[in-house]
Amino acid sequence: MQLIILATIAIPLICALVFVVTGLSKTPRENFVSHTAFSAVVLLCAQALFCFAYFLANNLTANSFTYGVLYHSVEYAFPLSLILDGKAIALLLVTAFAALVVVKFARYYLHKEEGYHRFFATIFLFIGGMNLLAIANTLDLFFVAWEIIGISSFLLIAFYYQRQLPVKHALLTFGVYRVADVGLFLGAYVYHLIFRENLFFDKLAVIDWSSHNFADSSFSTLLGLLLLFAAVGKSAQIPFCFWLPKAMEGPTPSSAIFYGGLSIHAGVFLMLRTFPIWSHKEEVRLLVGLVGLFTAFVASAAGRAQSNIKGQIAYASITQVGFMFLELGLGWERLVIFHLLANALLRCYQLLISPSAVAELLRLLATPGAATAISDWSVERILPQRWRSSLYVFALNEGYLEAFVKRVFVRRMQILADAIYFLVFKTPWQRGLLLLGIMGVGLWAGVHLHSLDTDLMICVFIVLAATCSLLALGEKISAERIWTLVGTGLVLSSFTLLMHSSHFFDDSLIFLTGIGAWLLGYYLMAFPERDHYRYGFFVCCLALIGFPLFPTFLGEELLLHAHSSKDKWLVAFIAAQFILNGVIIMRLHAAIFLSQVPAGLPGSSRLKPKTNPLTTSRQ
Amino acid sequence: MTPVTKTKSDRKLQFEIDDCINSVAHYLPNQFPIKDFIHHNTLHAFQHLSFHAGVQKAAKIFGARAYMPTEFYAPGAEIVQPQVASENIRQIWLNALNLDLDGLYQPLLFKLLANFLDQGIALWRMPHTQDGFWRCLQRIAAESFLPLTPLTDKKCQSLLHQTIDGAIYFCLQQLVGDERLYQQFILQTLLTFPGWAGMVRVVEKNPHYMQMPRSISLKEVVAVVLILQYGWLRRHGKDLKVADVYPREFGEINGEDLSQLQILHDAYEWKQYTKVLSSLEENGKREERPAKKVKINALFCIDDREHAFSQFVEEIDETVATYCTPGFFAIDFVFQSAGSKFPSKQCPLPVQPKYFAREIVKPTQQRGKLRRMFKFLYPSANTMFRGWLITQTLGFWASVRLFLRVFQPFLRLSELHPVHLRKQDTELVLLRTDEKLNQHGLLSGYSIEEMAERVYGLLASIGLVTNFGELVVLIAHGSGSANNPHFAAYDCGACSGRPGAPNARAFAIMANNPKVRKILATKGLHLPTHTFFLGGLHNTATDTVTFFDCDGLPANLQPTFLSLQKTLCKALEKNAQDRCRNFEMISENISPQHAIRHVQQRADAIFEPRPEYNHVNNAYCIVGRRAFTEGVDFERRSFFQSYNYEFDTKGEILARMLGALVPVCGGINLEYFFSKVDNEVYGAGTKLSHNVVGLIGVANGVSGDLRTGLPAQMVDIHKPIRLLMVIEQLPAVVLSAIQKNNEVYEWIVNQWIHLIAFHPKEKRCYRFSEHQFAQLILEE
Repeated sequence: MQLIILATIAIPLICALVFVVTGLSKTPRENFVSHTAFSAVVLLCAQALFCFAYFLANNLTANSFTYGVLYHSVEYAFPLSLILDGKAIALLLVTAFAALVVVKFARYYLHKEEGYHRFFATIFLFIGGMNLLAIANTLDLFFVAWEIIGISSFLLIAFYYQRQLPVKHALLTFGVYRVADVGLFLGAYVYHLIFRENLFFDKLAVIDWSSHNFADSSFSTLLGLLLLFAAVGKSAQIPFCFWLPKAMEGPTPSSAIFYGGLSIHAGVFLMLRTFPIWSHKEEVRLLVGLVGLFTAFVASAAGRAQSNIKGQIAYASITQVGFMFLELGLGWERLVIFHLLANALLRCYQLLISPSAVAELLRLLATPGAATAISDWSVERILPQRWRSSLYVFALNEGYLEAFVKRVFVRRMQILADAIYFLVFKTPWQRGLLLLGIMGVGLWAGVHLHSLDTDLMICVFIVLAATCSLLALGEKISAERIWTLVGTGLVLSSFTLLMHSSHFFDDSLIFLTGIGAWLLGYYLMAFPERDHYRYGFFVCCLALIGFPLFPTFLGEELLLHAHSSKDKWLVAFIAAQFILNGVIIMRLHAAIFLSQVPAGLPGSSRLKPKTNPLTTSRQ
Repeated sequence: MTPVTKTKSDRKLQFEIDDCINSVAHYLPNQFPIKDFIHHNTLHAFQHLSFHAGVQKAAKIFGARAYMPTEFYAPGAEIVQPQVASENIRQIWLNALNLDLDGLYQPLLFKLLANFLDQGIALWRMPHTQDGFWRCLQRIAAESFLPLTPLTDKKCQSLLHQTIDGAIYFCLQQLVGDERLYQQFILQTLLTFPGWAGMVRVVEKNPHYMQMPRSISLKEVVAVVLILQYGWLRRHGKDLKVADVYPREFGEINGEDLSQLQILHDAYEWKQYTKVLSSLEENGKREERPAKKVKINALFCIDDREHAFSQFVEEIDETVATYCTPGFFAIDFVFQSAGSKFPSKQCPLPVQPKYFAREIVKPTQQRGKLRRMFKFLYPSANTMFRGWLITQTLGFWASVRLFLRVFQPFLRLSELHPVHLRKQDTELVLLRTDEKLNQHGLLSGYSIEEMAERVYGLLASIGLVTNFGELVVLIAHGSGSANNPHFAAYDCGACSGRPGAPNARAFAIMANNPKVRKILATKGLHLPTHTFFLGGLHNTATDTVTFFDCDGLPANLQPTFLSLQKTLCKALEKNAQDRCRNFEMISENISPQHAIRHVQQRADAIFEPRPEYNHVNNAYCIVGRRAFTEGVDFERRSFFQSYNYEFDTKGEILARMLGALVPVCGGINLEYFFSKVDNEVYGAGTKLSHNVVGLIGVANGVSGDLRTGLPAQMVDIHKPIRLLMVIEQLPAVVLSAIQKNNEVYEWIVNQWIHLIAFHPKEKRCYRFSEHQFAQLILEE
């Protein structure tokens, strides 16, 4: 049984890897991909059904399976533990069904399309992520799944990377995801801070929360809010509704499985999983319910004014997810699961048949009585004219959410980055001076290491690392400089790990991966015209942003756990670095290897590597 | 209106907005709303130039490819496709601004246009749509308490309340600053969203094509676009004019030399033409076979698919004589079917119909009320509260539907029989009873004389004046495919992108009318009294034929009809087998029975982006007698128009025929041509990410521009060559025929199509070039 459950993650991930490899060869092997993919999803369906049967046979009790610990140190451990309970089964089943239908659909639909391999590799990466999301037993593992879903979303939205809009929207979505990730990232950390252990979902049900002193702590409210923040971003709730319709840039089947069907519900699933933690906190419940309610209103208004079919379905889906949040706030857990499954299936279907909207609606309009059935009663009819126009303008602007988020988060960050941009050294002698300075500090630190306050040094390094990322955000001309700044930031934060931890050799792998990826990336980015280098550079980017599957991922976690227990405010800097690095690196990747982004946008076409010392020396 | 100060009055340059808009509009794609997809020459704006000059100039203006890349013509060649340089003053300006101006204003503009023109997707209709676009925006911006950035800014508000001309002048002054650059700037702005701009122009010129009419003009849109750009620049505090960054005189663009590709392309075309022309010559030299004993006459459309089908019919059954004629069968009407709320035009695009006919359901045939009620649930699922209930209840039902629709083509056990007979469950109202014009400004039906005129005209044009069989069938065509927004592009082009069934039915009813036949007799056309006309429809996707009004067929004709059905079954199977050659992943030697099953599955599948390959590879258009082409294999690439040169010594019939034939076939050919040559610029790109907008078009994603032309999946195997028209007639007669129509002459003299006259006596080809025919020596 243990193996079968592990296979639900392993099969899709292996498939994804195989398709990446076959995609590298010049000759397309559509038949191979098509047959392998279909067999794999049939197998996944069988597995999901088997798990369901197993669950029924065990009298509907939850089972957890532990496969050992992947990483272990004093402060932090990363166990591999999976759970099979009702929620997991429900999500496994709906994922398997959606995957079956979509793979069947896509193997014909994408016939002859450039990127056939790439599409199926991404879909399977996503399915693997979704399955892991369903059966992850710890919040850390859940976070891994969460990240996999995020990155596969990016890849599928930017599937037609030769065009501008898909890339722009993929970056937008990735940015929102990255911000939301912080919620989960910090949530796991806060839980760890309180309980001194990892969050195991199967243990949540056992703990008696009301008697626990945790219930009174303001930490539990904070934890609830962090989780809500993560869920809100991933499930496109207020104030992040705007990314979902824009994500409909990939091939229709990918939109169906992602944004119509599954990934939009990841946030709801997170709230379901962590329901015991926050449900006894009235204020969190109230907030969850309110977010859902307001989202339902705003999204249904915005959706009603959408005159394109995919946008309308996207907003309809957000509206229903809003209701799910409301139901969560009300504590109707069972109904939410039911609602989630139904909505996923319905939207998946609607999106897959959306190309036939013209024919369907023309037929519908021809039916007697259609006029009354479609333009039905709605609130706006009873409003006076001025209010009606205002409401329409509100809907047209999709609730002003994008403008709001951009003003509150993005603009401020940009202004700050521009303000300190003068710090970037642009001329060789300045850089030389910097190098000398760093060496001096290093020497001095080396001499006085024993007498120095390590904690203070760590603080300084972390703040410096975050500043590097901010500087990279302000850089608009040179790709190498961005890459260097990000790399410097990462080195600085790795230093702090080394200073802190006693077991240098355990962490050196993490450190070396980062440096290796950085060097490789620096070399690859000089050849934007080479197709294969795009994949290579993407892998380097993933390593640098701490994508799970890379040791650098553990680095992020370790960083958080190692230092912040002493100085809580460091968390803010680590989180900022986490978000900024992700956004900057993906933007850089897009600017170099994907479509030309128009002038004036961050990551514009001017942002191309000009001279690369590594490559010039090679010549 | 604000007074316009002339900065450079020494030059004779007065900027005229209307002239400017009109000349700019020329360059926009002229594509109709998607339900009326009608093929046309993508580069119609350049048709006054010769073909090569036109494509090369267009390539510079649109930044497109002029021809296929070199390796397409000469595999293995090392010459690289030259990059076409386009000097875009607007782009220079945008780069200098360092602002993503298009990204700022276009999402709102597209949303406004889409919502204004929407034909039924949005659940809320935009307020004030009845007032026209400009007024509508004016009112919304004035009424709203909430900002509609930047239209609700004070300055923009005041601009919106000016006259349209005043606003355009003011903004151009602020943005461009030099009158000489105005037109260039407007054109380059509009070409950043050619899809929407073109659609606005089409709606402006043909408001009746919209089921819910909208009043909008390109000028209004230009004004709004300028105001939006101006507004955003003000918001960002940028004050940089185009003239500041582009002080130079605007000169000719120096593109790169394309002559080598031009030569390669011509050689590629003539290699294919030569093959067909020599087999036509050879065919002509053979002795003509004796006339066969005809029992059935079958009329098809000139469409390449129908031509191939009709060839199979002839091959299989000796007693059937087939003819091809434009698929509207000379019935030029606006038709409202019983199931439709809106009438639709059922004749070629250039024809302005004056007649209206409707279909009525026989009272006993009402059904399916419950099913219909069920359908309304679909849009309701996207609303808020009902959506909640519907999602909770019907969500799981959707999974069943989904499963069935994805796996259905493989689960279905009983296959469709290729030939269906439809009882007369509806009636066409064709006879005019009063002379009043109806609400569409059309006459309701035809008089008996007008009917006779149409029947006579058609039969005379194709040379079907003797040799009638017992049964004359008219087989129109249409295409039924699932999940396909471009469905109209698969239907009959001669019926404005719709199935031609009503025309075939109407023609049969007219020709069966004894009063009509009496008038025909006075014109010298004697139809045998026992000859019966019957209308049908060939579904080109599923390869099935449906016959209408079968219960009117006299009992003594039943055996003939049965034998026709058998012939058609066989022909359909062979046709399906022939079509399967184009589909990949199917074995080369598929049996006819399997082939027809396969094409039916394909048409039924919601996941099939290529339900059929349509006019792909179309290359020739033959005008002549059936004997002229008998036995020549055109590889499904040829249109065919029946025409007997003996009955048309003066070329009058031919002149009339070419008036429809050249724009229709040439339009189809060039739309495929350009969509293939540059699918991103002239075509619609891949259809996989298409999103249906407002029931009028498709866009990439939610906030992209409308895509015009054909999707990549329709043209991926297309071999782009110009149409070669071969007319079996004396060159002198052909020359006089083409000179009668200026439009047709322009197509031919500028070489947008090639014209060959096949001398029926000498059996030789004459090629038209430089205004005259010269004998063509075919080199092997």
